[in-house]
Amino acid sequence: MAELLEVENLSKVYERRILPWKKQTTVALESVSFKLASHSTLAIVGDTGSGKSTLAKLLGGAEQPSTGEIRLLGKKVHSGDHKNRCRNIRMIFQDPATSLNPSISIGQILEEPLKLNTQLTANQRQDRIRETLAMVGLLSDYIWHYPNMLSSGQRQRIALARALILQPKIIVADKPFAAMDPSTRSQMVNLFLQLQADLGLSYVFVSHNLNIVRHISDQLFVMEDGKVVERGDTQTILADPKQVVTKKLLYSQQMLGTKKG
Amino acid sequence: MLLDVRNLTVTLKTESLQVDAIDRMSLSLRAGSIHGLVGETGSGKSLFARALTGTLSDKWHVRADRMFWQGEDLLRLSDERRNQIISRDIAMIFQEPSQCLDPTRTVGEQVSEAIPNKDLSGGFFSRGSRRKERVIELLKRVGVKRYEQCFSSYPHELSEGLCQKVMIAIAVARRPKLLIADEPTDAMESATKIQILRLLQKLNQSKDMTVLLITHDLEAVSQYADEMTILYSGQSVESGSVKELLKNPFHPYTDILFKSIPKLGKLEAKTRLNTLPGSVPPLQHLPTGCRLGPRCPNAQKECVVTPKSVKTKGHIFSCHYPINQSK
Repeated sequence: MAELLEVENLSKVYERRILPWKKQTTVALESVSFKLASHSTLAIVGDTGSGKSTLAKLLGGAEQPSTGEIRLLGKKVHSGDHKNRCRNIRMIFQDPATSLNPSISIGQILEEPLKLNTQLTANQRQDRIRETLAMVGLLSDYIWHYPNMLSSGQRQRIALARALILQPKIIVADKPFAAMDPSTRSQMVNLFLQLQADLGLSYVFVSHNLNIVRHISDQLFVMEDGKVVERGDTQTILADPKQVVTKKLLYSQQMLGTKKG
Repeated sequence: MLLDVRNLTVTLKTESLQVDAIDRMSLSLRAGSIHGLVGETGSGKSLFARALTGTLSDKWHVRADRMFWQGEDLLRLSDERRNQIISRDIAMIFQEPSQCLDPTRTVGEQVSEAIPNKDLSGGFFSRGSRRKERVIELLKRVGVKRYEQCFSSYPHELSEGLCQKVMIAIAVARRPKLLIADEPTDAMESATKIQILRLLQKLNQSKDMTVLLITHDLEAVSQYADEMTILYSGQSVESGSVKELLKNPFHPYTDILFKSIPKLGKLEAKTRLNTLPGSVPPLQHLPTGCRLGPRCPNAQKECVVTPKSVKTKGHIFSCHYPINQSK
């Protein structure tokens, strides 16, 4: 059986013409290939500018890759084919406050992807919205609220509900917990884990908090300057880092110090 | 004791409502320590800093049994005298440093502005060059490697971490006794974050400068702070030395906060994290008594009365049903 997600030689190069005959190229992501099975989580860590967000954007379809292809269940995803892609891969962003439209209600925010991508009738759409809200632990009354009336934790839940509403197989989350309080953050972590267990979702996590990464992910990519420098099973890498970057990251979060006592 | 605040209440008064955003909070700062002030968004951490420095608008009313700064009660001084003391002894840095700096002027100009004239020896005409020397010295001290370049660049040309270092340079220019760091590392990459926290620690040790670290990042506090105070919805929950609190929390909220960090909780991967149900109550709908009440796992009938703070061996907590009590 084909893997849920297969990525082959995916890369991204930005080109800028500085003189009519001269181009300046910036390699944001060097060619990377990987497979992701359902029920599993891939975490991507790295410093600023290491290309981890670029990889997330390429997967989510927000950017077009320079080379390479993405296959979903064996079928190639074309870069222009947003309809097919967004029903399978959805994205969540770092700051829920700015990723939700402030001028329309939660109900409308959640209804829009359904209107654009499904043939459901108005009643079916409402039912789907209620189900999805219940899934992320919110009351159905929230469809009348506007994003500014909610707390940041609730907003991130709405962002998650918007991602879930098309019943995707993969969710790409770009630093979803970065600006959250500890107790809201653990609620969200629990919610992510529970949804994975219930619905068999796969996650691609971009994060810089290794504590959370260790807790939720199966595979780990460590990136530097657009290259994946270390990859493999999360627990093995974190227990025995090989690359300097990984060690540095671990050191900066005091996870090496604890071993020495 | 550098700062001793007892039963501070900050009330927000508008035409339609009157709420105590901070409800009888106490905090004492030992000179030369790093004190962490931890709480969730809206728990009144930043409000406390603003009440202390007297930068709140007229809508807010500040009352306290006492607010002693080195033996002087700040609330009973005239505004003028109070501002004098605060500008001499207290400095503050904020989150999102690149937005706090003036975008239209170079870093060098902004840092030199903060240096008082009396720090500069020598004649009137050599002041300019001495001022520049002092700025370079400050930039060196906060660990800016390419200080000459940094001196003549504008804030948008610098990274977030560098901007925060510049902010710290401005803050320490007057050699304050207390530095209030209001979420200094919020939304920063971990490597930069560690640099900033290290720098604060270094300044604390070498200059004997007390640091009040306001943050929601428990990992950072447990690593760098000596003492901590935990706030919930404007009420102080527990305070004491970090080691003691980590080992032996008395308040259920503290316990759950620490357990919510996978590393400290020593949990298996992919298991559920310990957390409280619900979310922080908004200011308009605060519960009476202990504000944790509706979310607390141990809440009972008495919790509708605000618990008094109890002090045992420098460890202060306010709860009717504390946990981990050895009898």
